[in-house]
Amino acid sequence: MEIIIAGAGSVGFNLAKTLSVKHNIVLIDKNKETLNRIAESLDVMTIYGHVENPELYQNLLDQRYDILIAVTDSDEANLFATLMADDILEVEKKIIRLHNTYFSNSSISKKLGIDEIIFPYITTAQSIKLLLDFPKANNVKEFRFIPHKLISIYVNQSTVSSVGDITSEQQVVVGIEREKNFFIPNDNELLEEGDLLYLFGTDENIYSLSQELNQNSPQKISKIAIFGADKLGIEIAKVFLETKADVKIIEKDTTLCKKAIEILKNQATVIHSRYIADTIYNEENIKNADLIISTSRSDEENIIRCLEAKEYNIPKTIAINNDTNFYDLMHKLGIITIRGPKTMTYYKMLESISSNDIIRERHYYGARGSIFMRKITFVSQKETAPIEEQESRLFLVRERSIVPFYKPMLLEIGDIIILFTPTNGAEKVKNWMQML
Amino acid sequence: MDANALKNILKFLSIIAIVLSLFLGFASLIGVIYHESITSYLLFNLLFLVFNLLLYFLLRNHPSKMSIKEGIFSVNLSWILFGVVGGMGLYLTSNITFAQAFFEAISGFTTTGATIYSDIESLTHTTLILRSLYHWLGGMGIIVLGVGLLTFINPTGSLTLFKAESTGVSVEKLTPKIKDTAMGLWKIYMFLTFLDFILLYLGGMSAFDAINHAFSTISTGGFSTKNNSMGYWEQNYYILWITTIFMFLSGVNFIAHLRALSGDFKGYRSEEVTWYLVIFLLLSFGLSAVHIFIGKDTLWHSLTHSFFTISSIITTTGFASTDYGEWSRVAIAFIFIPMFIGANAGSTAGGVKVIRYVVLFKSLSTQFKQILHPNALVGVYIDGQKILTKVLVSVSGFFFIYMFTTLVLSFYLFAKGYDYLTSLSASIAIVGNIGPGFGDVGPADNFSIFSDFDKVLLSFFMIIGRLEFYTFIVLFSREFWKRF
Repeated sequence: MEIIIAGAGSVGFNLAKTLSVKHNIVLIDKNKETLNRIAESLDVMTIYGHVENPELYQNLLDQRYDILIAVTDSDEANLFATLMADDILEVEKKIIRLHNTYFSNSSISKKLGIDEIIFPYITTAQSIKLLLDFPKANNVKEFRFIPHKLISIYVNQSTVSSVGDITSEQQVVVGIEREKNFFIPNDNELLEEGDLLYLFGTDENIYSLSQELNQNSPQKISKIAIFGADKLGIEIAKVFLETKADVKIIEKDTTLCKKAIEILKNQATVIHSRYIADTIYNEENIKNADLIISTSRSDEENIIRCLEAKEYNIPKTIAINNDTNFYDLMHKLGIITIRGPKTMTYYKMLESISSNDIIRERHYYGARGSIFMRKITFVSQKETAPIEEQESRLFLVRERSIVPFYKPMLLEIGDIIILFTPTNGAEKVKNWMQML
Repeated sequence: MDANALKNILKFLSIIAIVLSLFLGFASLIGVIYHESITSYLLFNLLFLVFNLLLYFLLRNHPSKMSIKEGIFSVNLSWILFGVVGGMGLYLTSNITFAQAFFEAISGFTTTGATIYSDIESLTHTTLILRSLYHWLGGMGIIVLGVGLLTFINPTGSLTLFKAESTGVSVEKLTPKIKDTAMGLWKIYMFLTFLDFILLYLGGMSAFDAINHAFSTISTGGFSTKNNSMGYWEQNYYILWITTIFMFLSGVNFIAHLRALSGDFKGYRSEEVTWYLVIFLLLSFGLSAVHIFIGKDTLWHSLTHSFFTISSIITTTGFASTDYGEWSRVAIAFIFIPMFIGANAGSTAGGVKVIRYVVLFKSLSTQFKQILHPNALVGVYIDGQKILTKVLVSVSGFFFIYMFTTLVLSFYLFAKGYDYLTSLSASIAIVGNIGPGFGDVGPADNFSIFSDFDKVLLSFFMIIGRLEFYTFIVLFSREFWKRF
């Protein structure tokens, strides 16, 4: 595909790096030095200038483009880039990132013909909020078309013996991490203590199952401490305040503190403090929190905050992951990681680009697992045969039931085919699904 | 170097070798057409192809993810491979030692055009077409072709490879993917070759001579099929002018040609091309004047041979239409100038290249400005673009190492007993990939005077010049071999 990326910050750069392997990338930025550095290392075309400048696009005219991605720091520039693209170029699909949440309620995207807007702060905050419904879970994912969710939980109570025992029409196991290895299990696999289990199913079922498998995490999350009061910290606080939870924010910068109180209308307690563990945990009673979230832009800091919290026996600690390179380390340290605004944007964009009108693509377990979904919109007269893949699991979601798809079946309109597979070698199964 | 790196390199080499042997199959075809006995050559070529197909087959599932070091190492190894395999071709089809064959092959692939054959006209058609083919493959760069063809090399790998083999101060891309640009460049290259072939053929050359000279002209190589080089067509001004024009065109940045193909002629108005044209015209008219006033030749004769000679030298082709070494000392001095200049970056020519002089002179003038206005903000701008300090440093470094290498080589040759004119001109001609020099290696002579050891040594200097120093010399830095 021909893809234009406006903005060569960390999201733009990482997208260019990943996408340039298969696609033709044009990267636009107003920082010449950054562009020069990128041109030395990535096989992409770089264009120097402001994305709002129409002259910039003169060299791109003799080509139609599939996707425009606008991820500059400025919301206005991103919006403007889509206008320019419409005005001067021929672009099929436009995906942009906007920081300011007030755009989320406006009809601006429709008016500008933007296909997808990603609000990283809201999305990150929302994904943390989902944890309230599943207090035992490390991570919760929602899906389009179906009410089912995908959660990950640690197993620390072995009342069930095998994957087959907990598999039903309402819930299935689609991944296990054991001793740092990730795999997609079959029904005979025995569960072990310490496994990180990926459960896919309906809310009620996976909720009660998670209560059963994990006894350590709190039953309910009502006391939350958030480290950091910049944009992300505030968005997260807002989400929790809506659920009438008790929220405390700890921030070392006075200005940010004042701003936070103002925005949150004094509903949360904002503590101005340098991060000295003893003071915070004992004097400010953070030691009684159910959940601690470290929202700094520096992953190193988030890791330290979470390790510290573990020392004080906080039942659940979440670190925001800003740099994908830190994901593995966080995971290995047993810290629950939630994608930060930048990584969230990166993955959302990738998912959006690799999805098309037919197939939705999602990722889990640090993008090592892939999920492909296809809604059946045609009537077929003969049975469809499933693809034979050892390491993948293929299901059919019909109404609310999850049916294993291992023998030829007659597909009905409204069925959802859902496939869980390791990302390595996902291309083959994706093609199969496309060809159905 | 671990197993993975070794596999990366072997896989890459095997593919380059397969491409190479397929092209060399073309030479066998000529041999068959002319009923020449080339059994041993055919056998060698076949074995080489089979061996590499086997090697590739064994490594087919190995995922190629080349690091910068592996890329650079592979490019150097490929060039030595060209010398050995190309040398084998010449060794098996003509009566020379392997060192001589190695020299001739490297001289071919680096588009130097220095030959060790004294009687070229006695060579078989197979040998002749092989020499021209080496030029043609080496001119645009077989690795550049590889980058275009091999989609499996990861982006950073192909960038490194492309940078390592192509010439100039920076990589210019017209498309997002380097491989598309590489293929575009090869298309232009083929088109120019074909056009030159047709025009030469129409001018009265035999089809065989025309194809050889087209290969040799567009790659700015310089191997001819005649003992007198282009002097054989001394009276055919049409052929001389056609060759002059095509040599000049091959000295222009091919990116400019590529842009012109899509209707954008701005590439030709760049400072580099403009200066190249100005220098070319000044030197050609200057040499004509010398010719007329000292040599007492007719105007048209002087113009033809002067334009031809300057075009041949500035593009580092090395064709000779007459023995210009005998024109006069002033003429020799005149011809020394283009030997030091070279043509455009991104062309098939060797030498220092015009763009570097433009950068150096502009940077000098900004330094003057800085001395007079200490508080002024100055920068070097070319075609409206600011030249980064990094590039300035690299250009100065290049100039230094170019002159240094040339000097060292000329001292060596001088110490070996050659006269000063031969030593200096030979080392410039070798490092700049020009071909003929003056004195004992003048346009009417050849490089057979050197010992076998010196021939191999000179071959490496040709590779150094072709890969523009850094790619080769970096191998000798401690940093390259450090594990940490």
